[in-house]
Amino acid sequence: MPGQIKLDPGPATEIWNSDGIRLRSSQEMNLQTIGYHIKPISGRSYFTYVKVTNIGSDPIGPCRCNKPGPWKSVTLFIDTFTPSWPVLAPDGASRLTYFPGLDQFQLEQVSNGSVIAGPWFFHGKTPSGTQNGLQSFWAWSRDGLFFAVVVRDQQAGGGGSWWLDVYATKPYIRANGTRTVPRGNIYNSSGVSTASNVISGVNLGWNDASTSLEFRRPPIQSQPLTQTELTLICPYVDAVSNVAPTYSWTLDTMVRSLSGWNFVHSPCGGLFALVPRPNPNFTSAYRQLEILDILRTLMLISQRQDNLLVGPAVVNNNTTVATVTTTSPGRRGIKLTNMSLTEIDNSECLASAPASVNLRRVRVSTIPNQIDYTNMGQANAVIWPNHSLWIEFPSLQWINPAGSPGQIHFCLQANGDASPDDPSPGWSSLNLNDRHFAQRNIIFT
Amino acid sequence: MTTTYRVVDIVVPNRSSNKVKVTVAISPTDPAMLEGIEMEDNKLLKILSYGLTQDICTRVERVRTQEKLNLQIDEFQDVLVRAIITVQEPSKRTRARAAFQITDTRNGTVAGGVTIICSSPQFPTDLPSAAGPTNPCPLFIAAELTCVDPGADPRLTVGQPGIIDTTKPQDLVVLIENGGPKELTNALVCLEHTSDSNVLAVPLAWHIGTIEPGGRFWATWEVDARTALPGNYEATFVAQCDDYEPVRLSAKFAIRPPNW
Repeated sequence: MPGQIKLDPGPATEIWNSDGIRLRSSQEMNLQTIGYHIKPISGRSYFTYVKVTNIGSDPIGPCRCNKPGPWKSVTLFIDTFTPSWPVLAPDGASRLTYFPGLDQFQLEQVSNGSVIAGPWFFHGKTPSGTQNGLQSFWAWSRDGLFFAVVVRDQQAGGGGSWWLDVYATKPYIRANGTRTVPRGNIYNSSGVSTASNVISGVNLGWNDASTSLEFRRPPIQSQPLTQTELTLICPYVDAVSNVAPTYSWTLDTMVRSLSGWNFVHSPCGGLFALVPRPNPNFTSAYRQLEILDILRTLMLISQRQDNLLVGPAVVNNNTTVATVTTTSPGRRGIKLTNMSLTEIDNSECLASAPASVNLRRVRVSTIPNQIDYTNMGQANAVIWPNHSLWIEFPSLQWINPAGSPGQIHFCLQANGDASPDDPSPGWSSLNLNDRHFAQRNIIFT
Repeated sequence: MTTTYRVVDIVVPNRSSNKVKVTVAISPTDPAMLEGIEMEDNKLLKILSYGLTQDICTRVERVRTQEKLNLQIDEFQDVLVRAIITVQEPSKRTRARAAFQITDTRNGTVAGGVTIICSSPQFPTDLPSAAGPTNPCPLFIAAELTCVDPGADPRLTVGQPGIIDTTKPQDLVVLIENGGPKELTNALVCLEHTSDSNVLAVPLAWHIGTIEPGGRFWATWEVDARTALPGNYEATFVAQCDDYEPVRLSAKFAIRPPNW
């Protein structure tokens, strides 16, 4: 269960008087226990402390993923197979149904049989093994959420046209947590190819985390043999439409004096590394490691060690990249071998949004006041599961409210937020029975 | 024995677009049951009378009060209610307290309230802090705060150390070091607040993870001091790690007036 924030409510008979908010005349250095609440005097400055508890089983403010393991290449598509119909997705939620009379197949939802996409012509191999005319092959992402289908139209003598379509088999939420992409097509591309079999399984592959489809476009006329057109199709990256954003490279081994590249994906699926394989005969060979964020920004990441900029370079071939198995792998959380540096920071797990609490002083009234208040700022903290911290608000001058001489005090209200997992309803929905809020409404006389 | 009057005016609001009927009541409660309120060596204050009134003009000793007021409040209106508690002051050197709950009941349910503590002598305005952590996380701030351009290498300081530029957003750099003798795990640092400087900071926690003795990490936070107020301040950070208690770290910084 994700982290859940809880501010201390008051006792059942006086819910307005939370002991989880205390005013203090001096700074507290202990975050687990603090001194008693005091009576403020107008004109003096006071710190305010709010007790924040995590009642979830995950930390509030965790890194989003800390799955360790070696970074891996994608699982390539298979284009030479004879499926047993119907073909079920890895998650069992969608399937391919074949219509022998038409030699067509379509993608359906298992639960209700509704058509997600298709039909496409199948046209498997001929008994002699030759491949001519329309043919299709496909692969689901490992989690079954995405489905990519390729149709190729092979001309006699080699070459031909190809079409690639990618579908979401059910609605999903982008990594930013705000956009829900509906079921249906999320990417398509087409082209011509000079390859003898037009396009094949080695041109495509899903990464293990199901966050990216790696697509190496088949060669076109006059394309140098040393050139690779690499496109990453990344359905979780932020975008203003439902189309999966892409990132493309034109890679030429001759230009960079390489024998090739390793394309590897992190276990969490948030990062992609382009690792050059330098040609040992060329000292000027390109050796720089490049890492791309394939979950949110689709931008190259500046690599860091201890948060200082570094530029790891390949020393020898047979490189490896791995996310390490340590507790909370952020700093130096990626291990490199056969490179100029052995460790770099793991940006997938280095920084996160903490819990935030907002505090305000409210003119004393019997029920939470929404109009007459003064903001007292925001404070942040990371809270481990089943732990509490007294978080501090800055020392601010206390000025008793003007008006009736007897109205001598403010009450204190706190609003805790643990977005994105446990967002606050906001001040406009203030409710003292809600664990995101607390109020200390007490007057000393 | 001296008699004194404790007077508290409280707003009873109606923020709705309909008239509401509200019952406001006052009742004594045991001050020893109030959490987080220092009550050591205190006796119970002798209460001669207590009650509520809407009359805020008459002298308190002449006002007739009731334990319960039934109010009808017009839409978007407030009503001011005065609580008057008559106290017999204890003898000198005696500390005594009493507590009352004022409840606001609407449609048969308690919608809110206020707690009143009467104290003689005056309730403390200063009480000792709790003892510091006995086993503090050994992470500490190893250098003065600096600033760099957004996203730049934390070593490429711009401007003077300890001063946040008010002309453009920057990254605040905080050098964190493991000052202990052991390797720390699950180390993390979070910017708690930037005092009352009005420097805006993007909330962020750094999951440093494993850090060896003497190991360093240059934590950064995006800050914007364009609306900050000139002055000297202290930002606070919370550092945590396995097997140790969390600690609050402070670091000074200054905001200079424009054209300083």
